[in-house]
Amino acid sequence: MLRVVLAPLLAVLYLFGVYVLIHGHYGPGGGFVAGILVAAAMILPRLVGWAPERLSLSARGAAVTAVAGILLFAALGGGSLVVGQPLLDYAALPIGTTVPARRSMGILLIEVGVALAVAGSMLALFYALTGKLGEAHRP
Amino acid sequence: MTFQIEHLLTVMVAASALALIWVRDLFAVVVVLSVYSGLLAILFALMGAVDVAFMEAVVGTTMSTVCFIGLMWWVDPDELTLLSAPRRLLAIAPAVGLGGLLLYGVMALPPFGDPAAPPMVHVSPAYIQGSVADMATPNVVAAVLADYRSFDTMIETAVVVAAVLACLLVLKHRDVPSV
Repeated sequence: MLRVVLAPLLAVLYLFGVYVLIHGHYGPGGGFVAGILVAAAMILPRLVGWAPERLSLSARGAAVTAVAGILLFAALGGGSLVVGQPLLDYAALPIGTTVPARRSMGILLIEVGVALAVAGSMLALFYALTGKLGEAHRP
Repeated sequence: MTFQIEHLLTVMVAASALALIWVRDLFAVVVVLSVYSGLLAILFALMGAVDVAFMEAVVGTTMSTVCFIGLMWWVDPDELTLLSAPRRLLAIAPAVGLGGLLLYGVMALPPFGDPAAPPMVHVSPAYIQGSVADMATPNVVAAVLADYRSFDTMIETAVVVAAVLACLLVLKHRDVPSV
């Protein structure tokens, strides 16, 4: 019964998470909130004892995702250092035609990094706190 | 003074904070904490800080509630004992002192929405006027967080990840399957 209610809710949660991430330039939200929404979509089914294999991460995968997110952020920030510009100057990166376009794309890319870092962190924290709950129902 | 929904909400925030002291059941404490965060989120939204409100709603009411419920997995309610009276006093005194200091600090702040407040006349106008021309981003909060002040955001994200990794290392030595 809970799964029937949860399945469409998960689709909405994932979609809303991605929407908040890519719409951050124009509305409230951004990478941090998007990461938590996606992590919530992965945690919710586990709270009712259901662990879907698709669209979800293992405990190790969650920790690796968190570190990958912060590395993506740092790589984008350090990229401008390589060409002799200040740290985190997205205008120095080859990701757009004009300076505002490059900085706009830079914001989106670092928000993706923040979302990965936060989603991975929160999921890893949930696994660590609820080791029994998170692992017991795995097939 | 006309009635404003903010006054009612502020009273409700204070009431839920007081309720936290009286409630004894652990699960009830977690729920009241979540209600407290939800009310704060509405207050932030009414004050125009939509990004902060969104964050408080998602982190305060949802994520921390889930983490607290996960934490309750470790706790046996029968083993919990209240602190003895002198120790309780030892905990209350610094809490009241810190609260008093914060209220004292709030008195020195400029009134809410004051156009002459120092942050309003210093960098805010430059950010608000420049964000569309500089990075084609109408949401000034996103522009400040991810570009003008992105160094802060990078280190904050690193702090979150480092804190969670530290939690994993501490909890690894408990009787849970290793991460």
